[in-house]
Formats: sequence, structure tokens, C-alpha cells
Amino acid sequence: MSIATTHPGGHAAEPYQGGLRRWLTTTNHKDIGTMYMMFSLIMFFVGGLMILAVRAELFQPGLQLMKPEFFNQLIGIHALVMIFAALMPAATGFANWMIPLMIGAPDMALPRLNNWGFWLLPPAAILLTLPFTLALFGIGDGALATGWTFYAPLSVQGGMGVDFAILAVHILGISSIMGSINIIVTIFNMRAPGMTMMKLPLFAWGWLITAFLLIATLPVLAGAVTMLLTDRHFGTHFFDAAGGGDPILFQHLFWFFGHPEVYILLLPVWGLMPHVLATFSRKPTYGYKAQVYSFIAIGLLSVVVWAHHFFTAGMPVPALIYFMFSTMAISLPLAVLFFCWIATMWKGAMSFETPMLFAIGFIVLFGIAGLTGLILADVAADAQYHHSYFVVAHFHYALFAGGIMGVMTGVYYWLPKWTGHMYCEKLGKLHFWLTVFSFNLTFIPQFFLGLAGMPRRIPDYALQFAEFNAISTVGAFILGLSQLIFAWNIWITVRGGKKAEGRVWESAEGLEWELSSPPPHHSWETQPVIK
Amino acid sequence: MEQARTAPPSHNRLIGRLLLLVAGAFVFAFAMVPLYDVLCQVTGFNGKTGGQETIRDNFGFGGLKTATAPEPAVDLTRSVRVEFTGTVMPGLPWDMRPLTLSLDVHPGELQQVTYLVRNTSNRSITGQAVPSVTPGQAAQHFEKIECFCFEQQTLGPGEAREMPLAFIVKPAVDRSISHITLSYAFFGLEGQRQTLTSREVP
Amino acid sequence: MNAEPTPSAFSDDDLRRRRAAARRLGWLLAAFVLGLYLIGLLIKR
Repeated sequence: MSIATTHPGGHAAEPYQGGLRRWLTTTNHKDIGTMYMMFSLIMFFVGGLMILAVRAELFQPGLQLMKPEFFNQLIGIHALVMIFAALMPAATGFANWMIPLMIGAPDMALPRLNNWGFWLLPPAAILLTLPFTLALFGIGDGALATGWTFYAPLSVQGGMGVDFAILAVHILGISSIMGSINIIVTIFNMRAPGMTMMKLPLFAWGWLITAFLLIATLPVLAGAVTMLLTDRHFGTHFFDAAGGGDPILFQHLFWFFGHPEVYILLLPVWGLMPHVLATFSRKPTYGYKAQVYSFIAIGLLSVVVWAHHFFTAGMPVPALIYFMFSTMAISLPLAVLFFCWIATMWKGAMSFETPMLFAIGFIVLFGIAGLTGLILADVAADAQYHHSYFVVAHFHYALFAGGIMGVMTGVYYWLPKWTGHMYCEKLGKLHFWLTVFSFNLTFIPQFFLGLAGMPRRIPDYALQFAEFNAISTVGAFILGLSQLIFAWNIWITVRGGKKAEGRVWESAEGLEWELSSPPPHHSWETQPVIK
Repeated sequence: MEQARTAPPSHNRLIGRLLLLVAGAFVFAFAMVPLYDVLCQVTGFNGKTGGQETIRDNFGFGGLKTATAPEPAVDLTRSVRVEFTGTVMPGLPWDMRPLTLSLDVHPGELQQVTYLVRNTSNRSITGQAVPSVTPGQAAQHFEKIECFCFEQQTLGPGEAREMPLAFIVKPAVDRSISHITLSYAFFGLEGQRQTLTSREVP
Repeated sequence: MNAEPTPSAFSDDDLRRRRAAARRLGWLLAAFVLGLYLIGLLIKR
């Protein structure tokens, strides 16, 4: 590559630095993307260990391993870690690595902000988990024990773990908003000449909608937890009925953020799927425009359906009906996406490398998430299923099979591009089959538990639930252990392995495959021109 | 190297607009507080009753309502079962229970019931009752003429008092509503609510 | 920027076979879903 003298990042003249200094001060989108991915992988295992402890406790009825207070802390922090510290950073890592390569930009638009955005994450993760450690030394009563939803008035009365979580959410929120601004500015201002919005890769489109959703809803969560903080320490009464406040208001504010958050997590994955499916079906993506419009429709609908998360809190019938139908309406654009994914494979010369396996597994399992979601959206049915294990199983199909497996699709698809080495295909396939098998072994029993009436967030349960819980725990441990294969595979791919070509997959389309694998430290300094 | 791009688009203007969106969303969260309250008052969402304001309505809010026809008298063709319940919030050493558990009333009929409230501690305490009506659609048609919740109540050490409540279920209430539940939550006002940082050992 | 074409792992024959298989599987799945739908219609609730 030529030596650049100036470009928008303005960091070309910096001398190469090794060691920790490099990672602390880097403004290179590839370095920052790598850090996001590594952070995400570590937190994925941290959150996974927490939930394995929970599943171990639930293996048998009765209390064996832990006190209920500790159980409550584990489930809430598991959720916050997985959502804010594993899934969101993974998506942001993808964006950092791939969006500049895909749209022919030399770097992200705001490289310094990018660095800051990442380095806010580790302190936030420490804040979130520190109360566990403090409690070991007898300081405070442990981490947030309200579940990840912070519902008032429970969270107003909770211990100092709530304050730690509130501050962590603030920091994570600031980081995500900075990341979103950076991605929007990059996509709007730094596309290669000739790349119109309707030629933008679908991955970038998915992320664009995610970024706008983050900007529109995360500040609402920040506002809600700020009110919580002032209620707890400064004598305000936002959520206190005695002072004229209203605890239900908290649920409205929380889910005004919380529901779009689901789509924030999933849109980058939906954007990445067509790339993988088209590559391994050796066909162009089916229905590009339909998918773009579906992304936009889902983004818009997602902010007007929030109250379906608390149908049972008491709402007038017209409101129930509105939220039911608007929620169900989201399945229409989503069905369009499913149709486009399947139509991309239709009559294609498919081959089943690991990314393709994960993509197909994603479509099947995420389909189950969608169908069970329709059941929960039904006001009459929800009265029974609300707050049961049915809900737990449903959103793990959405966020593990939809979110995490989607991220794994992307990792296997792009890892050769990032490292310049091919991953081990055998280990990849083993990882896939073990993951799919144990995931279903974990969560299918939870559907039945929910239908039979087992409530979520309890450390002990009635005897009739014992068998399904035991099966679910066995599944969870296999699921957890098989992720070690994933980590090992990434490790050996980073260290070495078969050299990867620039165009890693023979029929992959897009600017990112025009570059060598791994791409040079500074790529697209001369922007390509799209015809 | 910059020849590929004519006049690079301004990052700053876009960033400014996006930050404005962030600020707007943050303000929106706080604007929800009064908005939500107004919404609940208007629609009866969440069981917020009209209380005294409803009475003022009947005398004409700013003279606007005086022209409307008087409400029809008692609707004897149907009755609504009203159930009474009450809780004392944590930190207030009181007991409360309704002396009438439920009552069948014709819409439009004036009824009176009493709650028995007792101070179980040996000091004088002031409390405030906050009412809630379920289902929410009935709330705006549930009119309290007299209620112990209209003002703060002070009970001496060990004192028990019967507290009266007079109400009308307005004939305008929807025919589909057959049951109404009225619930009171008594809150302690002494020393005001304590935040966690100011919490004392009792 | 080295974009040498990757040597294809599959022969033309193989690719043709895969396309046909994808089409067959598609119809099979469609028939399966239609079957499920029809069974659902017939079940008396």
C-alpha cells in the first residue's frame, strides 16, 4: 500500500507502537473492532458462567448451592452483561471492522471518539460486577438483585448494587450513543464515490437503523435510571405513589427503550445474513430493496409497541388491543425478511461451510422465536404466559439463536478476512452441531415448563417441574462447554493456520473482499469508485 | 489522495443534529412524567380517580359544564358490585380494613361505607390514603363525595377510628362493567419519605 | 489489493447438482409446511 500523507483520520504519520500503549491510544478502526470483539467474547463467558451457576441451582428443586438473594443477583447481571457487554459490543465490533471496508472508507469518521467509546466499556463492566466482589469482603449486599428490568419500587428499595448498575448503564449508554453517532456519520459522509444509499451493503443498512434506534431510545433509559437514582438518594418521587409518582411509569419508560433494544441487537445480524446466504448459495441477494424497507418498517414499528411487555400491569382494553395488533404487525416486515433469506437460497448451489450452517440454524431457530413471540403478543394468551419460563425460552430463541448465533455466523464468515488465516472447519462444524443440539436441549423444556406454569426468576420450584429443569440444566452445561471450542478455534486461527485468500469465499461479493486478508493497517486511502 | 472526494461533507453539522436527537430523547423521558399523569387523569388509565376535581366538574369547570344536561337519576335497571380493600404501606405501623367488604349499588345511587383504621404504635402518626380503582375505565365514573383520602389523617397512640367514604357510581359508567374494586394504600407522612442514604435504624 | 480469483472447490457438474438439490429441498419444505397447515385446519378444537 502507498504511504498516505493525509486523510480524514489524520493519524497516518503516527509511529507504530507496540504493546498496551498501542491498544490504549489506537484510533484505527480495525484495532478498535478487534478490541470490541475480544471484550465481547470475554464478557460472553462471564455472563455464561453466571447463568451456569443459576442452572446448577435449578438442577433440583430446593435450595442447594446459593441463597435466593445471590440467585436474584446472578439472573439480573447475567442479562445486563449478555445484552450490554457481549451482544452490543460484538455488533459494534463488526461495524468497526467491516463498515469502512464495505463502503470503501479509509476509517471511521470520528476515530478518537471511537477509541473513547470502546474504553468506556471495561470500567462499566467492572462497575456492573464489582458489587459481587465487594460483598465477598462484607461491603454492601451484592449486585443488582431486581432482574435486569430495574422495576420500581423494588429497585428504589434495593441495595447499593442498584446504584452500581445505574452508573454502569449510564456509561454503557454513553458509549453506545457515541458508537452510533460515529457509524451514522461514517455511512452518511464517507461512502465511496458512486455508492448511493441504495447500493449500500445490507449490513451497513441494518446497522444504520440500529444506530438511529439507539440514539432515539437509549437516552430514555438513561432518563429513567436517572429518575431512579434521584428517587433513591435525593428525595424525588417519580416512581413513589406516596409522593404522587407512579411505579407503572417506570415500566413505560423502561420498555420504551427495552423493546427497540431487541431490534437494536438483531438488526445488525439481519443485515449480515443476506451476505452469508448469497455467498454460500452462489447467487445474488434476493429482494435487496424489500429488505431495506423491512428494516426501516421494523425500526419505526419497534418504538410504538412497548407496552406488550406489561399487559398484566393493568391497561384499558383499547390500549391492550392497540398494543396487541401493533406488535403482531411487526411480524409482517419480519416475514418479508424470512422470505428474502429463503428465496436467496432457493435454487442456489449451496455449500455448507460453518458460516452457512450457522446462518441456516439462525433462520430455523429464530423462526421459532418469532412464532412464540406471536403467542405472547396475544393479550388473552399472555395473561397465562406472562412472567413464566415460556417467556424465558422465547427470548433466548430470539437473543441466543437470533443474536449470538448470528454473531457467530459473522465471526466465522469474517474471521479469515480479519486474521488472514482459515479457521478449522472441523472444529467449526463440531461447534455448530453441539451448539444447536444443546441449545434446543436447554430451551425446549423451558417452553413446556412455562406452559405448565413455572414462573421465571425463582431459585426453587414445585416438584412437578423437576425433570424438565434437570434436562434444561444438562443442556445448558453442554452449551456452555461447547463455546470453549469456539474460543479455541478463534485462538488457533489468530495464531496461525492455512493462509486465506483476499476473496476468502469464492463467490463473495463486496468491496471488503477486494482487499488482502488480513487487510493492510490503512485500507481504502484512495477510495474506490463504484459504477 | 483527496481528489476522489470533492468538498468533503461536513461531519460537524451531522453530529450536531444527532446530538440534538439524543438531547430530545432524554428530555422526552422527563416530559413523560407530567404527560403520563395528564393521560391518566383524562382517560382513567391506571385507576386514577377524579376525586375532588370531579365534584368541581359538576359545578362547571370555568362555567363550561353548567349548560350540559343534568345526569340522569338512579339507574335501577342494573347494579354494579363494588368491592373494598386496603393496604398499609411498609413503615407505617397501622392496621386498616373495610367494614363493608362489598356492596351492590345502582349507578347514580349515593352510598356510604367505612374503613376501620388503627394505630398500633404508641406514638401519634399522620398518614395519607391514596385510592385506586380497577378496572381503569370505571375510574372516571367513580365519584367520591366524601373521603378520608381527601386529607391527611392523624391517629394518636393506639387510636382506632372509623373513616367514612361516600361515593356515587355515575350512571354514565359502561354497561359492560359489573365489578369495581376500590383499593386504598395508606402511606406514612411522618418525617416524610426517607431516601436510602438517609435511612435510619428504626 | 490482491484479488486473484480463488480456485473453485466445486466442479460445474457439482454446482449444477447442488442447485437442483436446493430446488428439490425447497419444494419439499413448502409441501411440509402446507401439510402442517392442512392438518391444523382439520383438527377439531
